[in-house]
Order: sequence, then C-alpha cells, then structure tokens
Amino acid sequence: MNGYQRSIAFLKNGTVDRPPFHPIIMRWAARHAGTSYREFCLNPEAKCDAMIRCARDFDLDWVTVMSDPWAEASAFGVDVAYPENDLPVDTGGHLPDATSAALLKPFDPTEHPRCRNRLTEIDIYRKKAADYFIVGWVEGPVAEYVDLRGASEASLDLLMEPDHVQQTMDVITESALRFIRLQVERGAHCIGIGDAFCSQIGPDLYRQFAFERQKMLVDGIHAAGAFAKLHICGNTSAILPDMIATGADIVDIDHLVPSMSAFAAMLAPSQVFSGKADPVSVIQDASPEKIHQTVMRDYRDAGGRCIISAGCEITPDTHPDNMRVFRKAAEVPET
Amino acid sequence: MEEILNNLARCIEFGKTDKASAWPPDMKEQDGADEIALRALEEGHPPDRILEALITGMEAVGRKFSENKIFVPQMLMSAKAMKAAMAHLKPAFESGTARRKGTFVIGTVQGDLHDIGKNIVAMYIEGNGYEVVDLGVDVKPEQFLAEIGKRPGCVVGMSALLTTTMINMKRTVEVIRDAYPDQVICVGGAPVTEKFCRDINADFYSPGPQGAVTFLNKLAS
Repeated sequence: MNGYQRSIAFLKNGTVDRPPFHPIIMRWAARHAGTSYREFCLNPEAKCDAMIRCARDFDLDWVTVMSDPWAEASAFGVDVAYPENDLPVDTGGHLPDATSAALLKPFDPTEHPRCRNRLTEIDIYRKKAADYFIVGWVEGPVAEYVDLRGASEASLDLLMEPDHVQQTMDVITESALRFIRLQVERGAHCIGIGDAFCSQIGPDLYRQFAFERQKMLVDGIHAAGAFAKLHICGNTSAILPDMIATGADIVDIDHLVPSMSAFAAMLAPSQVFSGKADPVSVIQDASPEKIHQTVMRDYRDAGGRCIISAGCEITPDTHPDNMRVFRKAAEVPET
Repeated sequence: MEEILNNLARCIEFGKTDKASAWPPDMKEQDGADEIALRALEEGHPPDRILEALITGMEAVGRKFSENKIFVPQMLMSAKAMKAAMAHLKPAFESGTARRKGTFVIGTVQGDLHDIGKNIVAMYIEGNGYEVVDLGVDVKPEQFLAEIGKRPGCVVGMSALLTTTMINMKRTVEVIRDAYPDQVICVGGAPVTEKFCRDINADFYSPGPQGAVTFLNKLAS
C-alpha cells in the first residue's frame, strides 16, 4: 500500500498493512531538506520538495501545505515578516478593535499570494506526490480571529464584544469555505482545520463561537469531496466530545490530553484520532523504547482507531534517528 | 474581611473591571474593581488590607484556573480588574505605606513573541502581592542582566512558547549565571519541562501560574 491508499483505507475503516504515519513536520522538514524557513513558507516548490523528500526518506504517508498560520491573515491585511530561518511574525495591520473587526470583508484566495501559493502547492503534490495523502489547510474561526486581533485582545473580545466577534467569525468562516473548495478542486484529499486557541477558551466559549462554525467547515469539506481533519493543540479534554461531534474524519489529539481511552467510544466508525506523543519529551528526547511504548499505549487507548502522529509539530531539533524509531513504532501496533 | 473588601475580592474573582464593563453579565451596572478600590481608600482602609483583598480574589482565580473552571479569557478579565484596582494603590506602594512581597522580572526569551502565557503569569504574580517588571517579548539576555542589576533580590522569570526558542532560554540562563551565579530563575512555557529546567540550570519550573506563586511565597517567607 502507498501512503494515499493506506490513509484512505484506514479512514474508511478498511484493511491496512499498518496504521498511517502522519507526523506534522514544518520546521523539521525545512531543516532536513536544507531549505531556509523563509523559502519554505514563501516558495511552493521549496516547501513541496522538502515535504516530499521527508515523506520519501522517512516513509511518511502524507504531504501537507502546513508551514505557518499567516496565509489567511495576510489576505485579511495583517503584515507578516519572514525571517530567513525563523518563524514568520506578524508585524502590523491587526484589527485595532472588535468593532473594526466586524467590518472585515471576505477575501478571494485567488487574489492573495500566500493563498495562491497554497493552491500551487497542491498542484505540485498532485504532479509529484500523488501516491501520498495530500492535505490542504485552513485556519479555524477562533485561531484566525486571534491572528487578526492578538491573543489577549481576542480573548477579551470573546467576553466583552460577543456580537462583533460573531460577525467577524462569520466572515472568516465564509472565506475559509471558499478556500476549502478551491483546495479540494485542485486535488487535496483532505483539508485540515487549525483552531489551536480553542483549547484555551473552555467549553462554553468553544460552543458559543467555534463549534457550529467548525461543523460548517467540516460539512463544507465533505460537500467538496474531501476528508476533514480538526487540529486543536493543547489539552482539549473538555471540548473533545464536541470536536468529535463536528464530524471531522480525523480528530487530532495533543499530548496534554491525558488519554484517548475515555473518548474512543464516541468516535463514529468513519472517524479516527491522530496523535498523541509529546513532540519534545518523547519524540525529541526519549529513548527508542519510550517512543515505542508511547505509540503502543496511545494506539491501544484509541482502540486501534488512531493515525500515528505526535500531538503537535515535530521539533526541528528532533534527530532523524528518532523519526525512524517513531515510524518503526507504527509498524505493528498491538491493540 | 469587611464587606467592601469582600466585594473587591469578588470583582477580581469574576473579572468586573468597572461599572461600565459589560462583563460579567450578572454584575452589570454594579461598581467594579476600579470604583470599589478607590472608595475603599477614601473610606480609610489601609492599602495593605486592600492588597490582601486583591490577593484573595486572585487566589480564587488561580484555583478555578487550575481546576479548569475558568479559562484564559476569564483569567485576562480578572487581570484587567486587578490592574484597575492596583492603579489606585500605586501611590501607596511608591510612598512605602504599602509593601509588596518582592520583585519579579519577567519576559519571553529572545526570539519568542508569544506573550499570552507570560502575561497570565505576570498578572497572577502581581495579583498575589509582588511587584512585576514586565520586560515584554523577545527579551535579550542583556536586558534581563540590566534589570537584575537595578533590582537586587529580584526573581527572574522567563517563558518560551516555541521549541525553537527554548535554546535561547538556555543561553539566557547561562548569561545570567555568569554575572549573577545565585540569581533565582524560574522558567515556563508550553514546551518547557522540569527536566529542561534542570538541564539548563534554572531553579524552578511550573506548568502554571499557581506553582510560581507558591514558589515565590516560599522564598519570601
């Protein structure tokens, strides 16, 4: 089976030779390929070549467009700087208050360079890596609002200006749906929804602002003909039942969630978890035995319905040997 | 505690900044921390007692945060309420009629621009009676050194949200240790662990703000 076949079969609850291996690699991929992070973020060829090289060298089952959260924010007007070998940073152009956020207009992804690049990346993957599971990406409503306003201001807005936040998130969601359709049309097999900050706002605000919109995005991805992946890092225990209820096919679980076992029974037959090893204390720093044990434990806790991945991004300092051990641990999980 | 101070503690606990604030909805149009702190001073309550009320409120906030009963937005509202009250106490601290437990110098390490965790820790420590000197984000080791030089006896706290900037935390600790071998240094942030704290020769790691306050209180006692 190739990565595409394995991923699709696993998601459809079919027979697989082993569970798919989907570690999130961004800075690690750029470093492995010897590409500056600026190039990785801004040059579709550089990103895709790095991802494909990692997929081939480490036997990954997927390739993704992930690099940083700023593509949509750039389209909404946030200024972003791209240091040569560091993460991109927002440098200005944020919405000054919740009221102005509500004046935001939906954007057309084809008119903005970073969004166009994402579509180009999917084109490249279709040409060069069709044997892998190709994953596009959009920012979720909460994460994008945080990108536009800053984390502290956005947090206060959720309590103080809920109506304006709702209006703004409607615009964010409308834009994301448009971006989803374009990515799926270009050939993405799956679209990830990144809504990281949701783990910080608690279940009440999650339900008030995020749940319905995430569900709309999942429905939009399904309607376009792709699988949906929902990624919220941090301890999502309090919102995991709702995350599962969005209908996302792949529900990411970070290492801060104590165990998947309490939630595994909530999965529909067509849903799987992805996770959840600690990228630092396990994948980067632990012994091969510990990495193996962690993967086995997580897989068992998920009742075998778990794509092998770390809870979040593989760190750039992770030694390639550890990645090989990590991949090997996905070989014959004991359920 | 007198009723007015109880009310002040309650404003901190529930994040009621001032009368105009719409949060929390069930305290709408009631006086907030701003008005109550000012009135308490005008009525002659000693600044130290007012500070105690703020600490009581913050302790409730910290407890609820660690029990996952409130989350970052509510925590930040409480911080806002506390800041409003503390503004009235500032002259008392400056004149020495009220005293803080110690000084905490905090910042995110060089290269790291993520400040929400640092902000929460800073406000929580301030709300527990410490002077907090917030150096902001992307703080170079030399900036920490300069502040330590100005504030003998202070405790330094630094955070890193990214694994890529953890390495800068190590370097910052080394630079501080070279100049001030006995400097007390606390570290925190999502990728930081107890082991990493030990490896880089820092003194204390806590995954949340409550642990940091407990550590500081031990030092201060």
